[in-house]
Amino acid sequence: MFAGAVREAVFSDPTVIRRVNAEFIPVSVGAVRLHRPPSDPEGRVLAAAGRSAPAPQGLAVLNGDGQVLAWSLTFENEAKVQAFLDETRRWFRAHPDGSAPFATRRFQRYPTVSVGDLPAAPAIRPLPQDHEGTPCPAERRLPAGTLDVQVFGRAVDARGSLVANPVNQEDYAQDRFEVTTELQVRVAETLRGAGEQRVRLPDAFARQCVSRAYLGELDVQPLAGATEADGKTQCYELWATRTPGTPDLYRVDGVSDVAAVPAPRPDGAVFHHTIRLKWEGFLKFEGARIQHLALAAQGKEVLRWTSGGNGGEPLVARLPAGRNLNVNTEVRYGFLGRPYAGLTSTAADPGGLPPLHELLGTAFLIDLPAVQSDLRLTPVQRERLRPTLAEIRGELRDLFQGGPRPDPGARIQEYRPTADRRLRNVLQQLLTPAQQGRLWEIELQQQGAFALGDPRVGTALGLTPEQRQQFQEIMRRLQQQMEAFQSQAMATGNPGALRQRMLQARQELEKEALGLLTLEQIPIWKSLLGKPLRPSNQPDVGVGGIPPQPQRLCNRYTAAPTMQKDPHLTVRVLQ
Amino acid sequence: MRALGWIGLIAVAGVGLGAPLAGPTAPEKTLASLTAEIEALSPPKLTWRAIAWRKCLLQGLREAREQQKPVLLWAFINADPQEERC
Repeated sequence: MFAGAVREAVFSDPTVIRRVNAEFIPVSVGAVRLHRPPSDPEGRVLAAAGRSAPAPQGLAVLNGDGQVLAWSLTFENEAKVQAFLDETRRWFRAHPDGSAPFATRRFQRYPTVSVGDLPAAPAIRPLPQDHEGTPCPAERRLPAGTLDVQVFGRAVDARGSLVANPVNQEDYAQDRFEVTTELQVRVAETLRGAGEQRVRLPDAFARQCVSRAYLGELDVQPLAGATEADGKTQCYELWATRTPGTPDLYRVDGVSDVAAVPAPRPDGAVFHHTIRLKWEGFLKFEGARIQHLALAAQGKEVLRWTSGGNGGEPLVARLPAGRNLNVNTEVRYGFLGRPYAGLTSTAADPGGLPPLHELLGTAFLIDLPAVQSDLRLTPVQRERLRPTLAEIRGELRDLFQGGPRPDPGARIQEYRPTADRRLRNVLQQLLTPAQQGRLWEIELQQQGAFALGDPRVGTALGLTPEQRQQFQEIMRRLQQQMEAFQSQAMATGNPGALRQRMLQARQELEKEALGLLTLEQIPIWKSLLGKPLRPSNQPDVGVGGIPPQPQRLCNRYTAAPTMQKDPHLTVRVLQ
Repeated sequence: MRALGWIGLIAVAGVGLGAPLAGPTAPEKTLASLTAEIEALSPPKLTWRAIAWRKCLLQGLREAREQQKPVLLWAFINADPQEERC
């Protein structure tokens, strides 16, 4: 809601647009990139700016050295948006660079509600000028062959015409998504196997399209984490038939019926969304790759969203809550897909998403090349594993982007058991018993002493009831400490310092947990861990929390070590 | 006069009487025609697209120093306010 409201209420005002283009240098960075900056020259500047952020999302004004002059989350009224631009320009004239110390002004609501000024971070010297020959992480990078799909959604007015001059996303929605090469191959194989017969397209492909066909802000997503328990129902079928005379061209038809009617929320917010669409379109292939996707859908959409009342305040004063929506309209959607023509990435560098095991648990260590090599996965095993990981990665990206709940961390926590179950089912079929055993060893190495809570580990070690109780007490203290750190992070707006302290706390409690083991149990624990995994270019430094410290499986996200062990926690810290 | 009125009415109605019961069949859509139809869903002008957001902070800071202007930073969950839903 927040970003959509900012775009509609602040950056659709012609005066603001003119002033921003003329008087400022507008730069957009994702909140994730700001708070989990890449380990490159830009990342240092982003990290410094992010440390003063009063909340995970917001607007800031910076001087030429990248120092933050001011943050604001909302504005008293529309006139105060202009005043914010005026005043930050004055502060900029006073502090155009880092030659003298100054304070970063921070507002919950400009200019009346301050969250406390902070001394501006010292200017970084020398300030990086560029990415030193590497692409900027902000550049969109996708694996070669990915289908890049643009989405257009438009409300239809009472006369049957498209709503004119749309600004808000309940009138016009625009988005994009990607179809992986793996999914394209699945679609192609499905079609090839059907010959001239009409055939149902894979659900994973249909879902990608249907889940994007909705009006309203990112948070609305009616199919995000959809379960019937959440009041969400979904029914969709896309079919394809080869067109006579053109063997690579398929005509698509289908229907979708999506409903999200969750139970009333305690905060009084209301969310109700139904979309019924009829689909038509074409898929044009070259080999197993889609060369051209054109899909259109039309039908009826009803959307009601309230954020618990607004008290008559202007939208700019309540941007995080967004606008109430009340839509009941005919709609039209269009999807155009072409092979991605921009910068390409590799599977090991998927372009912005954290490693899966950091978010979804240690079973996803199987996604790491080092682990696949250690397990000696065959080419066939790797090929069979890839579609599941690609689908989960796509769903995870959706969860990061939005959903009806404001907390992506909570959505990811809800998603974890489902993803874990899906992957483990695949692994059970795919891996040999020896490979499964080795993967478990690697998982234990990653979990360290906190794996003592695993019932299988407890049994193998012969943990006594007293040891189990003491371990539970350590875990309870860990949870308490982490929650306290989170509260502190929200209050101080300094998640960077928080991560270090969280890591220290974890390490101390991990040592304490290991200290519960008797001299007889320690060798058993070591044997459970197996041979240390040696990721590429890393020395063998020990495993399982026993000094020397275990080698953690991580890559460029090493800077956020807590993420590796407690995904839910770290994601929440980012929000 | 009443007869003339009826003739006129029939003449007008005749236009319809000679027409098929169903309307003319719309030409079957092709990949090209559907693509054009979908492209027409995108409005030619969107106010919020008028802001020239840079995606790289280092590039923005370079321009800021050169032009003696402050940087206005969009830091939201959605990194691309011009192309994606937010």
